[in-house]
Amino acid sequence: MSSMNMILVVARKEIKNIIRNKGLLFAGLYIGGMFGVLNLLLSGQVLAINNTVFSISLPVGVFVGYSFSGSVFLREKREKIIETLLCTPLSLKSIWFGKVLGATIPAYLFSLLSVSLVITVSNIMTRTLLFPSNAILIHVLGVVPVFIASAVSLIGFCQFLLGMRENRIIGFLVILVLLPFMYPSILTGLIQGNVNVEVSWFEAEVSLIVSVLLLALTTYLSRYLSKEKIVTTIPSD
Amino acid sequence: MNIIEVKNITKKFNGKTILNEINFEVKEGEIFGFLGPNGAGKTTTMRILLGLLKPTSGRALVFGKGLDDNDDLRKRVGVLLENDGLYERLSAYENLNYFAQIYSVSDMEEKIKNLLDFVGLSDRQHDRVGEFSKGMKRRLALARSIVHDPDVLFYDEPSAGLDPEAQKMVRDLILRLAREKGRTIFLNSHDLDEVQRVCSKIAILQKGEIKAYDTVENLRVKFSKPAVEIALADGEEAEKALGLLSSLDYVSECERDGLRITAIIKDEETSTVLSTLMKDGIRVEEVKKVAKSLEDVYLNIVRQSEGRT
Repeated sequence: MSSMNMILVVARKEIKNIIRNKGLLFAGLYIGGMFGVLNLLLSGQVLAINNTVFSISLPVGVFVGYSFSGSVFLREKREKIIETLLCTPLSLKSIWFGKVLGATIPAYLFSLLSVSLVITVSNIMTRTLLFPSNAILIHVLGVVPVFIASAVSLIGFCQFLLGMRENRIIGFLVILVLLPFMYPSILTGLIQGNVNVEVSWFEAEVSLIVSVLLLALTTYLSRYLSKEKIVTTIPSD
Repeated sequence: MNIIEVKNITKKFNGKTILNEINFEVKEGEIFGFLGPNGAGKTTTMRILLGLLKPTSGRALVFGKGLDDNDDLRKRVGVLLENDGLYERLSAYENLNYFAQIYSVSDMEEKIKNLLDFVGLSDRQHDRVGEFSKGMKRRLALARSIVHDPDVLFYDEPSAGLDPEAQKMVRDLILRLAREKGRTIFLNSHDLDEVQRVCSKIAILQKGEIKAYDTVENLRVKFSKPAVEIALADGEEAEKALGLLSSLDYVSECERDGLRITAIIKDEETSTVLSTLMKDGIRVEEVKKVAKSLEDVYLNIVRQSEGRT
């Protein structure tokens, strides 16, 4: 079987595992559904559909991805199941990419769910047919999945590489580091002292470049993972 | 033909030596028992052999090659580690199916069905593994370890936590794999009775060094002290005999259990013990040599290497 097929085998198993975990599904639904709609209702920006979709699609995906990576990477390490998997013919790269894909796909689906909810609620409340702009669509269809994948792989990298104690805080640290990159305008605003989330083609393009660079960086970092590093940071009984 | 070769392996973690120049070989079709107290370095040795850890020096070879960078070679290896390596949210069938896909097993459905029958889990195949008892999980993990029909198996405490019936099933499986299919088995175990029953050769590891490495029979001869078991007529006689035996120079250890006394003797015949007791008018019902178990041999070696007698 080719390595791509093996990656898909691992990813399918991870997705199945996530779907069967009620706690994770609830967390995903809560973040994706409630967060999106509440954000829309509370902000009073029913008409500003572009801003809302832009604001929630990425953080919902990243937060849900973070929650899923705990099951995909950390739990498997804590419960020592990873050791058996590392003894199979799967290469570390196949395991790694399979797991990243397995956590990214459902996290992205939750992000899409929240976007769909926002659009639906906006349309119901305004009784008009509202649809996000092209820049927002590019953002949701292009930037969001790549950014979730890079966030999941960065969190997963840390979870595989570090011990359990370090892992208690590292997930949030990674998200804090990623947060300014989710909105380039926030990043530039922070530098210029004028924080404002703007929705434009520039924003979508910069976000796409940032997410691709982040994915490239985490893929490069994954080279530094080794079976020995994973096994020696498995907690002992 | 050597299937497993460990050549001068040393492993250090943060300057601390965990394994110190260990050497052993496992031949094709052999069931090799790897024994040692907790923290002796057994798991580290197994992890090095499986390619999960790199040795600081020396070489660990399976089929003449290292498993660490050889994805294809790992298809010929089956493992059952301390953890069952099962996914609790997947069913028994899904777990086997996942690993069968990873190992690119042909006739997957039939093989999984046969294995589930073999380990007695056919009727629970669609139940989640999280609902299984510890014994059921272990049996499923055993099935998982042979789903791809491997040539060599690495088992870490395979019957730990199993009921006697399941333990027998594990032993029978191990013997069947070795005898009928010629599989080579590396057995990491604390269960000396299990090792004694199934292993052809053993190595005893302590503090990162191999203290003994031979067949079970040779080790018994080499490390056992001759012992005799004496049955006395009554409690009074037993008390007298215990006092007398304890005072003899050639008796190193003496233990009473009801009307029976077990004495470890140095370079003397059973007849000498008997005649000494009879001279003192002690009524002996029976005297016999006692075969030492692997447990005695193991404790002997471990105590010797710790400087205890």
